[in-house]
Amino acid sequence: MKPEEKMKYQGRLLLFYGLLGLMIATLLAGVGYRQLIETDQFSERVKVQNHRRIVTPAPRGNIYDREGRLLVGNKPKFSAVVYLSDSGVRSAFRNEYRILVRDYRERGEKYNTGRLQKLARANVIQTYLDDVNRMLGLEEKVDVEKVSSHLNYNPLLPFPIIADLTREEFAVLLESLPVESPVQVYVSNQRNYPYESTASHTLGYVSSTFLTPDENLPGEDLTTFAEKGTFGRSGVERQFDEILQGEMGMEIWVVDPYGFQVESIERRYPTKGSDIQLSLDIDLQTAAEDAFWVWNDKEQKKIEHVGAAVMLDVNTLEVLAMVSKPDYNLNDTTPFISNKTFQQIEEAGGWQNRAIQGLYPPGSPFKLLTSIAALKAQTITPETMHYCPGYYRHPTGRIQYCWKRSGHEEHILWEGIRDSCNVYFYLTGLETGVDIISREAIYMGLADRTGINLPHETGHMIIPTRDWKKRRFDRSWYPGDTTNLSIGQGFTRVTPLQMALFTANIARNEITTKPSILKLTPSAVKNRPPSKSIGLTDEQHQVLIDGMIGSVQLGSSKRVQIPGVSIAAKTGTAEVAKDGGKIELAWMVAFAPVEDPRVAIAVIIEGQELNQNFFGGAHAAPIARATLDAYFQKHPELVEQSPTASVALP
Amino acid sequence: MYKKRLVQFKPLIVLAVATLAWLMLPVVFKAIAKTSFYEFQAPVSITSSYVRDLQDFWAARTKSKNELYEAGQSLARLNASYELTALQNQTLEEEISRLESLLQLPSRPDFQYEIARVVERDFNAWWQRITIRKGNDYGIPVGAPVVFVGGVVGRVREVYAYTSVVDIISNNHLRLAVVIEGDNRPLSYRGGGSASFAKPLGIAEFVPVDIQISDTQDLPTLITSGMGGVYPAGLRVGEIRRLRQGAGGMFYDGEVELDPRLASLTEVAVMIQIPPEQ
Amino acid sequence: MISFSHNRWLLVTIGHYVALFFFAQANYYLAPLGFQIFVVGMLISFSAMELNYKQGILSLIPVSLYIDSKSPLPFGFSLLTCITLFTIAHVLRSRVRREITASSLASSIMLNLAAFVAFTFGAIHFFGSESIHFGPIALNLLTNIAVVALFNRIFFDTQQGILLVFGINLAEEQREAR
Repeated sequence: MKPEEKMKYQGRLLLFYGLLGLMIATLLAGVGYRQLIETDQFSERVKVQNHRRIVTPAPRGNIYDREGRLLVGNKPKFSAVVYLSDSGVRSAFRNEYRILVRDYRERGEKYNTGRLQKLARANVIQTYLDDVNRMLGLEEKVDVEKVSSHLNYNPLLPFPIIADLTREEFAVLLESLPVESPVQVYVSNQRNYPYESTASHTLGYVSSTFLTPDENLPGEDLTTFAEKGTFGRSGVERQFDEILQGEMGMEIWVVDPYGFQVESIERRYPTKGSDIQLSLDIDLQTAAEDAFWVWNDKEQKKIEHVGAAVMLDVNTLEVLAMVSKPDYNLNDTTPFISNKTFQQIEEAGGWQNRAIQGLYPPGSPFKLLTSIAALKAQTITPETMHYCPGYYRHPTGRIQYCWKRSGHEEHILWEGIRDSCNVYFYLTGLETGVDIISREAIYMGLADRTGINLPHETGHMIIPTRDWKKRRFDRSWYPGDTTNLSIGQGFTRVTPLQMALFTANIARNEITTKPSILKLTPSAVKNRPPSKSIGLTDEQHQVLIDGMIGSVQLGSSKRVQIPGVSIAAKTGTAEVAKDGGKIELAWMVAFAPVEDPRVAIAVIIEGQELNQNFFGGAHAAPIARATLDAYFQKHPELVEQSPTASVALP
Repeated sequence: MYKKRLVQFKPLIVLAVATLAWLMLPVVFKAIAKTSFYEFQAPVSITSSYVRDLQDFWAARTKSKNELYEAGQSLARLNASYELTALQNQTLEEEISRLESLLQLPSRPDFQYEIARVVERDFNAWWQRITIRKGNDYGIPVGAPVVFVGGVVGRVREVYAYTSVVDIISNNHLRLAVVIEGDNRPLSYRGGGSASFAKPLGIAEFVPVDIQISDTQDLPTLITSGMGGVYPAGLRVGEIRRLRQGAGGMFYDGEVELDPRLASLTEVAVMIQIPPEQ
Repeated sequence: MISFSHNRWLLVTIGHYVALFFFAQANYYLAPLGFQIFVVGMLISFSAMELNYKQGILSLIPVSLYIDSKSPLPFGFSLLTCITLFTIAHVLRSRVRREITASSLASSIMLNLAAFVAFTFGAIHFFGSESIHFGPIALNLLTNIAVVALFNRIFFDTQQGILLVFGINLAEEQREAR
């Protein structure tokens, strides 16, 4: 090579080296930038692509009654499952697929890859199921579509092959399945209600849906497979859902390109939800519910009354029993409510919690409120006497009858309450006027929700006023409306819980409006908003009580009597129009013991047939009696030794 | 030069080839090789066991006549009490079968007991097994439950011509369906290895949360449930010593203390199920 | 006629087997105390330090298969562990002065440690880690180091003595090789 050629060549070489160096430098800079600057970003992307999160539900907290007896707990549900991420299962999937393809090719048939894959997977699962079938003596078959959909949507979750194993089957599988087998016994939890339908509306039911991961769970940005969790849908289960839920568990897995688990890298166990203690006493609840079953001569069997009952602790306003009939077996609602069960409950009208959602005219117990209004307005005194000929003729000529057509002769107030004389309260009401009576009812809290810590308490109660009638019907208020209001008929609508609360307030001669379904600590009772006075003098208050005692001893509430216990009660029969006829409603409100009131109860029974006679004394009183009896059996110290504890009446 | 380098790498090449060859070897060859190697040396193990028996015999021969006489007397007393217990058991068995026929209950599985001497104890930090001096010659089946005076020993894992290998219940891959004495809810028991100084352990899973350990003197005792189909009901497994919250939050996991005598067994009984038609 | 020199692996294998047999008898009595003597590393050490590659590997194959036949680990686990450790030891043996007792002791302890670790990982892999506890592992490891330290010299001398009976003088051969 000539020197000039050499120079030229070396120049080109230099240029080449320069270019090469530049390229390498660019590459290195790129690599360096990615390695040093973008490392976090890339590792994050790799993490998101390779990691999966499984979210598992926590067992819900238990619900106990006031004496610590389990009302709602959890029941383990054992099932046999196949862990699809097991390497043995996956190689079995591949082998089976190869065999199927070979068979098709040998037969010269065309095949669909996706369909064969589905079939291969189902065949493999079937072989595992066959093993389990052999161990348990079953003949279960795998659903091809279910396997396929599970693998598509939840490949990280075990595939259930037999659900709901019995104890014996669980034990057989434990001993027969090898520990390293991909088929294992899996445990999930299911709500369990040991008392079945008892207090079903109060306790409520849960439904299961896929979990929404908590925000504080790690791996928020990862693809997440959530198992099904339970959520409270009604009653206490719904009201205290957040407390009962607990903290869900989580596991982060590294997965292979096919999405199957390779290694678990982070795990957080679920934490069981907190337990809660209700104010309910299951003994009283059971006694009340049992009393709803009565012998029916016509049908020659026991039938269940339709209605509601609420018993409150007079001093704390804790709910001791809350019944709504018809009800439903809570165990039928878990793990899900079948269409058939839903329809059955729906047709029977069982979904409604009549104790807080049922709206009824209050009937004769409302006469106590009319009395309070009249006494406070001084339109009557305890000695005011009215004559009952058995009817009241309005100036317009319209006649309204007393329930006793033959009349009650002359009455003073306590006797009017004792005998539940309609005419006495027609006259008292007319003298007092709708405005005062309505105002008093509103003051007593009958126009508002009680604010009990249960969901779905109705707010549609009605305490009619002149304005209300004008607004609602665009009509004026008539004296007949006032007479109806005075005896708890007409437009007035209240819930059984309100009536129980009203009775408790009369018993204490003061107004507190917020009952509780949770057992309250003494400090919680102490810290309640202060009670307000009803506004009656002791003498006036005593007249009401005398009327109620008289009703028990001499009047329509006789059937509530319990030897050794002084009880104040008031029955009632109300009517509602239905299908061109009338349905009667039987009421009973009561409290006891009279000297030191502890419990108050309100019971309502709905008549089921048109124009059938239903009386508070005959139909509601036995339920109140059974519940009170159960209470006093548990508190013998409150029962006087003398078998006839009658209170001296005026 | 090239050849010299190759010689240097020869051991590594041999290792790689040998490993590959072994991994490629069909399973059947490995199974045959395993059985052959085991059976080949089995007589030696059995002989050593007989030698130990002989040792015991000669150890007994060194005892004085007085000692032997006293031992004989206490043995006679023990025999008398056992005879009485056997008589009581017989009466109870008759009563049980009478009640069973009265209630038309299905007959329970019947077992034949094969008493076998322990030949070898393989009791280490990784696994716990024993070899017993009975095998195919006595019709020992794989999977048969093995018991001793203190309860469950384990399960027969391998059976050879004259010996069998028994997995002790402290092995991780052994699982039983058990119940807590006085309770009928089945739980899962799994071997939990061996702690320092040969304390065999187990793990109880699915322990209901109402089970509590309040008294360290009166620990909940695990017994076989009889529901699993392998072990008859009522055999002692161990005691739950400690409870901790289980993975799902619904149950406890329990630490189970097994009988320490499992590490010093000299004789066990293999339970062979008698088919009902016999 | 059998050439003992060319088939010395057989003599060594028998020696290894006898050693394992005696330790198995000891293990029978040690089981209630929670110890198990594990001296596989010592056997590998002898084969690696005293025999050539072919003789050494041949001497270990039957012994490791015998161990395999009695272990719950997959058949072949001990074989692959033993020949791997043997190969490593054999490759590295030129770096130590084999005639010194301390060298054989050090290699025995190291190999035994390695074999013990391999078995531990094997057990964790195949049976899970729940039943493997640190306490007994540490206790057994310490015991084994002590046993190897105590018996290594006796074992090596006995094996060499047996070979000498059959006219194989390992010390002489090593001297000549140098």
